[in-house]
Amino acid sequence: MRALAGSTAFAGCTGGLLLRLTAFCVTTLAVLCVAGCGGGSAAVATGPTGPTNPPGGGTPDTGNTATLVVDSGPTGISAGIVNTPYVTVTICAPGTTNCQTIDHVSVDTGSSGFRVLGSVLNSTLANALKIASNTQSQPYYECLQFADGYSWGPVTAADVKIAGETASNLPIHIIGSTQVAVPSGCSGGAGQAENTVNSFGANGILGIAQFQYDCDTYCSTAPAPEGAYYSCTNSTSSGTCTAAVMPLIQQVPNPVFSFPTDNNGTIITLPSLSNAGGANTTGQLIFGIDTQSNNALGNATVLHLDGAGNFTAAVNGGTNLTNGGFIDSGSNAYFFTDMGTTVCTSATAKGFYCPAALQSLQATVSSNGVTATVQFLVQSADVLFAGNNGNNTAFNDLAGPTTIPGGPTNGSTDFFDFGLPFFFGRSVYTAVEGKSTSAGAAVSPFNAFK
Amino acid sequence: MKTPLLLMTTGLLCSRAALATLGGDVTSVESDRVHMKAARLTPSSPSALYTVHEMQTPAGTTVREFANADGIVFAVSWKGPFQPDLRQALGTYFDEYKTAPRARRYGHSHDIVEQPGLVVHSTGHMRSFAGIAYVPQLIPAGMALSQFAERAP
Repeated sequence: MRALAGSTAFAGCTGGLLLRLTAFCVTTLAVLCVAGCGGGSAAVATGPTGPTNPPGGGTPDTGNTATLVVDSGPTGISAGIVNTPYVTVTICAPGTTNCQTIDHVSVDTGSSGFRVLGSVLNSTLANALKIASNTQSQPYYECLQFADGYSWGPVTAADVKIAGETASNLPIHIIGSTQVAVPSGCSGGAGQAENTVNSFGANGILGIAQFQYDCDTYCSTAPAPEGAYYSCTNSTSSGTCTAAVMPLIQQVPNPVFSFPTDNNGTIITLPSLSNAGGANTTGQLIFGIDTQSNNALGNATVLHLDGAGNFTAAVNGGTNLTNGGFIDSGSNAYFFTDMGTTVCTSATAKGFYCPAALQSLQATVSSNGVTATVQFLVQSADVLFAGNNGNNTAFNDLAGPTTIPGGPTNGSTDFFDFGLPFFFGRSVYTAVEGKSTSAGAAVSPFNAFK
Repeated sequence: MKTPLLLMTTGLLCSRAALATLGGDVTSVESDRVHMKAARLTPSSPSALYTVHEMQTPAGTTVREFANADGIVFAVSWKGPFQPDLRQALGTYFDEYKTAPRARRYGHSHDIVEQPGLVVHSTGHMRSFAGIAYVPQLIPAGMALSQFAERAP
């Protein structure tokens, strides 16, 4: 499937010199980057956020296990980063040894697809990554919308390697590093542009949600939605883009689905923490579920995920939340609304809870006949961020509101977002759709935890 | 001109099939719906204080606009697999939403803007987004925030 995607994507570039004279074929990521990355041939040279040793300084694993680190993020981040798990990923031009190792790629169970900031790619690799195109040789670009912003850039393909796993010729998204103006349908969908390492908070993102494709049939059938895939007239500043129907095989997929083995899901394990938090905490990202001796599902609580990726959830014995709950390593706190919990007012902790004392709360989660109670703690974010001279980056008791302060617990925007605090002291499983596990087909896809 | 306020509002809505952006006049064109290529559902008036206009984008995202008795949209909420076109829905407030200061990075699944004249909460993940934006000063007197929150999609 990947080879097919590649041959489609690069069909316009295989015809030798004459074809290479077309605008598309001579367009490389490096060329695109001239304006946005500092100018000159060294425009995409590796900066201070370039390849380093694996986070945490550990020995690279050759099997199905990558080291996770929860630290203050890549070099060049101005905002304080907490509760964000990172791994190191190697990407190569397809089928070659033209590779680069990228540190501080955030691990996100709330989205699917591998994306890397174009500004961290060295020029040798950037030159070799060709932009995917449609049958008219028009380059494909993608707008990825998050709840907090959007990321814009070309679609290409690469071999993506992490631990001992490889997804070959995988469609990936290069964020930023383009002269093509962001379409209004992209920038209008979410708040802020997140096209730089600083605004994105990472050098890349490893989206390992349960979805195989990032857009699936929403984008593979007409009408093409705004805020997803676009075909552009060319890859220069004169290029204009329109929302495009994107065939599934050319969409940016969950890389795990494309591994030859260990491809039915992931496990994130992080250690228990004190209620004061920890600094530079490390854990593991394990590929596969019940495929090796280190990834058994065992007696984990299995929560089937609906088509939108949610399950049923309630807080402190209340009614079920309108939008349900989800487990998301890409969220840095428990986000939920609780009338009795005070919202912080300080500049550094705005958007989080600041109770006068440590609170013990519980959530009820259920799906497909399985119900479980999750006990959790909420400490004041002011206290947490001030502890250890402000050096702590991992907290099991950070929380914030997800809907209108003073509003009802069952309000319109109300989710229970089980962010990274939920992961500490647990193994959290994400089983991808369309693959089998010992839990059986009836509950696929699912999140599980123990 | 002595028509009771509720009837007058309802009449205007019915005759113009009007929808507008946050802070905008509900008697203006259906710019939001047309821009988003959305289907409009029947407006409802859960109370004399406000009217709810609901539309659904082709991608399946439901957008609701809440108009006060003066016909001014004071809140917009959304829920669905994609974010709606907030530039259109927030109108003149969109730039403030984009540029408002954020405190600390929350990850990508959460965004809060709380300015004196604009509150926006946006939450969710791939395939499942929800949010609400409102102008505190335009909320009808006597209406609790919880009142429209409960009726948002």
